[in-house]
Amino acid sequence: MNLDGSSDTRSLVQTGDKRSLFETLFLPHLDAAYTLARWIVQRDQDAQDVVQEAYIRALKGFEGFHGVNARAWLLTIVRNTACTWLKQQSRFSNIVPFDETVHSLPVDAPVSEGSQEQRIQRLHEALNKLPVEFREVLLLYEIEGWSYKKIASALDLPVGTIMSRLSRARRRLQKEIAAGEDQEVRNEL
Amino acid sequence: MNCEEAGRLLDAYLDRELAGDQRLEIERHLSHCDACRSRAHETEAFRSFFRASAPRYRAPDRLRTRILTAVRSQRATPGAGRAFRRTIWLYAAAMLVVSLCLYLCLSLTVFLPDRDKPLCHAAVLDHSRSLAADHLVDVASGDRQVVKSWLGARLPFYPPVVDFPIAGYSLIGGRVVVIERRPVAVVVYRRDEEVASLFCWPVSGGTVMDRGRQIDGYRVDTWSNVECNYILISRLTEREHDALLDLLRDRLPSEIY
Ligand SMILES: [Zn+2]
Repeated sequence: MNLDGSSDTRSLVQTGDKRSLFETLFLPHLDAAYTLARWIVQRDQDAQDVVQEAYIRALKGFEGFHGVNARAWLLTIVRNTACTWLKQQSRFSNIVPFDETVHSLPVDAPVSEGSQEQRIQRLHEALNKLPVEFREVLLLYEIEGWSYKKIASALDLPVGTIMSRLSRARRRLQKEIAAGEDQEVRNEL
Repeated sequence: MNCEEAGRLLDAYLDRELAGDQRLEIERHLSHCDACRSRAHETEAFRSFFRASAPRYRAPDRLRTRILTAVRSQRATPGAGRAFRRTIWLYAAAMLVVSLCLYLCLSLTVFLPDRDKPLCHAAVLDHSRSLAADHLVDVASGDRQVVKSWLGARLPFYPPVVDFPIAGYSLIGGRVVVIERRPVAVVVYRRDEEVASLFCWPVSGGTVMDRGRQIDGYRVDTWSNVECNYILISRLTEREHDALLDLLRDRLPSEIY
């Protein structure tokens, strides 16, 4: 490995130290990073690209990281990378119109599975339909357990916006799931 | 407060994000408004369903390898990312060997599975004993300077002590324990009826890995920063425990300097 095209042993060792420190700090959070990317960009392959890009960005910006909270720092980078990626996508595709056939619930889904499983399935579908701004706040709050204030500062938004997004996101999901359940009852009749 | 205002603040209230006055006001409203109270119950039920059922993903192994390769090829071959992918497996294997050696040299234990386990078990034992004996602290104080200097006077180091009264975690004091032959500071927090113990000692004897575990029904998280190793133990709800963990991880480093 020819690092920096330099044969200076000292800088070589330091680079190695820095990288292994980087790996020790950030690799344990790979699942969390990937989950966040999946929630934002949704497709597996895209999420993988985003996460890889984010790790490279994190490595480059590593000097600016002062050991506060590696996980939060990394997730913020993943989030920003994912958003940049979404913007680029929408520029190329001129924003894909909402596709009912892809995104709507299968009306005649088999009713054989347990209703809890169906409810979870419905939740996942409803979540996919939610605007990305809602999904990211939900994930950071409910799954990562960040405070409103922390989300607000990572997303550079007022705390009030976080509060209303969370509440609107929950209302929408609740409504969507309830609508699915009504549909099911109607199908059974 | 009317129903409309209560509805607007309900989620923040349930999320424990409302402070003082607003919190009291909405509690007062909920105590006499059946409609809002039933809405609160519904939202609460939905939140726990959501937390239990929302999708979490495991990163594919392929991605882990891609990242290791990319990270280790940074600077070495700028802009050659694509060419790398063709030989990714061979390269990854070679790099894993190299990094394993590097890790073994740097800290003999990075790749060993859960070497901190005995340490965590000892800490959990101490935590549960302190609860059983109802002797949570040797020094009872909500003043972090008091706790810090009391601990510092009895230990070969000054542990960082932080508190988060606004977030609902109150400092109740500290105790000194010996775990695996090392003196350790324990800072104790309370949230409602639950108690959390934060174990802290200098990293000079080696660092702990960053990870979370479940031991005997307790959430146990280990991490370290440049100065200290930490173990956080509690039976708080997952969210409350995580929130405390985040607060600690954010605030502790800046306390040292
Ligand atoms: Zn009301």
